[in-house]
Amino acid sequence: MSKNRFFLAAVLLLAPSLLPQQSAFHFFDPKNLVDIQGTVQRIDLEETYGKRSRFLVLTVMSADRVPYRVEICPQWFLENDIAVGMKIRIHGSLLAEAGENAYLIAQEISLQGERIALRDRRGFPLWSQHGSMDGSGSRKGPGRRGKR
Amino acid sequence: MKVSARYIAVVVALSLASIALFYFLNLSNRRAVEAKAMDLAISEGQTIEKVLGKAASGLLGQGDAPLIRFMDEIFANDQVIYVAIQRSGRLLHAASKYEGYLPLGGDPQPVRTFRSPLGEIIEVSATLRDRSGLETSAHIGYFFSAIEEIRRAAKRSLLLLTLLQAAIVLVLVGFLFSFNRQMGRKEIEIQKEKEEKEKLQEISLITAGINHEIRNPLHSLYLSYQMLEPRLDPADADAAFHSQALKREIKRIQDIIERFSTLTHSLPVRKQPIDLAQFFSERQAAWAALETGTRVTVELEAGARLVSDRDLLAQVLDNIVRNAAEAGARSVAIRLFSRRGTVHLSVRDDGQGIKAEQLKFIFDPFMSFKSRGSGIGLALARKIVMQLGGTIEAASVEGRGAEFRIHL
Repeated sequence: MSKNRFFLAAVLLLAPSLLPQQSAFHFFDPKNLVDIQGTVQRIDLEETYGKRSRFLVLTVMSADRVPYRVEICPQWFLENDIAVGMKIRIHGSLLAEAGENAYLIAQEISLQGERIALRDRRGFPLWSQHGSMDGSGSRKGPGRRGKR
Repeated sequence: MKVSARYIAVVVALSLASIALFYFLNLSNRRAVEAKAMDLAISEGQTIEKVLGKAASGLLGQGDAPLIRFMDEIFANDQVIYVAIQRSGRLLHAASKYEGYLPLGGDPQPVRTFRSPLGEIIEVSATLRDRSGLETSAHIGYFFSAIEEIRRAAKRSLLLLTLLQAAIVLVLVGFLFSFNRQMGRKEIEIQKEKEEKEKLQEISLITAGINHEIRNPLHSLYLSYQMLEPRLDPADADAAFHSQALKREIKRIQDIIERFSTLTHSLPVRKQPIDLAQFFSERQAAWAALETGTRVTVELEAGARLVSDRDLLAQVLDNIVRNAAEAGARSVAIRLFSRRGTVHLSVRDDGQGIKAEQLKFIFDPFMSFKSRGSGIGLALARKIVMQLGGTIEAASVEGRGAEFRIHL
C-alpha cells in the first residue's frame, strides 16, 4: 500500500515535467485572428512544444513590410514544399502585436493556390485529431485541403 | 382484393411513415439519453468546481506556486486536456496536451461544455477574489469520455433499432403483398371455375337433351342398319361404300354423344403405379391403328415413375395425339421426365400450330378451330388432367407446331 502511494506521488510529481509545457502565452487565441499575406523569408524547425516533434516556423514578410514569425505545424504533417521567396497567405491567431516580435499560430495557410487546414476554429491541432491525448497525433498525413 | 397501384402506394406510404415514426421515436429517445448524460456531466462538473474553488482558495493564500503545482498535478490526469490560471484576464499559468490548444471561454462560467474533434469537453472554472479584490480564475478542461461512449452506444442502438424496425415493416409489407397476390390469384381461379361450372351446366342441359332426343333414335337407326346390312348385294360396290359410310357416321355421332356426357360428368379416378414402357407401347400401337399417318415417338427418362389412372391418362394422350393428327402433324414427340416430385409430359407436334388469339380458348368446350373438330377433345383432356390432380398448358407458334405440357 505504501509502495503504491509512493509510486502515485512520484507520478504526480514527475508527470507535469514529462508533459508538453508551453510558455504561458503560447496558445492559440481564437479571439485574436488575423489574415496575413506575404513572402517566406526564412524556414526554421523548432522544438516549440517540447522534444516530441520539430515544428515548422516561418519568417514571413507581409505585404506592408512587417516581419512575422509563423508557427505552422509539425514537420511531418505538411506534405507541401515550402521555399524561401514563396508567396503565402496565413489565417491565424496573433499572439504578439505586429512588430519585431510579432508571432502567429497558423490556423490555415494557402500555398500556391492550395488551402491547407491546420487547426479547427478553437485551435485544436488537426494532426492530433485521431491521436491519443498525449498530443502525439495519428501521424497519418495532412489535414483537410482544398483548392481556393 | 386485386393489387392496385393506389393500394401499393398507400401500403408503401404507410410503411415509410411507420419507419420514419420509429426513427423519430428512437431519435428522441437517443436525444433524451444524451441530454440526461450531459446533465450528469454538468452536475459532476459543478461538484468539481466547488472542490476546485475550495482547494484553490486555500492554496492561493500561500502564494501562486502551490496553486500552479496543484493545477499541474490535476493536469497529469489522463482525462484532463488543459489547465489554466488567469489573473485579471491574463494568463498566469497554462498547460495543454495538444500543441497550442487552450480554448478558454470569454467570461468564465462555473461549468461549460463544447465540442472538439476529440468529443465533448467540459470546462470547469473556479473564480476567486483575494482581499485586495484581484480576481484569479482556475480552469480545468477535461474530456468526459463516458458521454462519448453513451453517444456512440445511443447512435448504434438508434441505427440498429431503426434497421430492425425497417426490416420488420418490410417483411410485414412483403407478407401482405404476397398474401394479397395469392388472394387475387385465388379469386381469379374461383371466378374462372365458376364460369366453367356455369358453362358446363349449360352443356349438361344440352347433353341431356341430346341424350334424350338423339341417342335413342340413333340407336334405332343403327339397329335398322344392322338389319339391312346382310341384305345388301355384296357385289354392289356402290352400295357397300355407302353402307360403310353410313356405319362410320353413325359410330361418329355415338362417339360424340359419349364424349359429351363424359365432359359433364365426374369421372372415377383409380390411381396405381403405371408401367410406363408397357403403357406407351400399347398407346403407340393404338395410335398406329388409327392410320392417321402421324408418327408418334416416345422418350422416357430413365427411372421415371408415375402413379396415376392409366385409362384416363390414355384418354388424355389419345385426345392430344388425335388433335395433332387433325392439325396436320406428321410427327408427334412425347417426352416424359420428372423434376422435384412432379412428372412432366411434353407432347410436341409439327402441325400447323395454333394462333396466339386462339391459344387462350384452346381448352374451352366446343371451341374448335379445325374444320372437322367437335371442340370436345382438348376440353376433355383438361378436365381429366384436373381430376388427376395435375395441370395442362399449351404453347404454340403458328405454323411451327404446338406443344402440350402436362404436369402430374
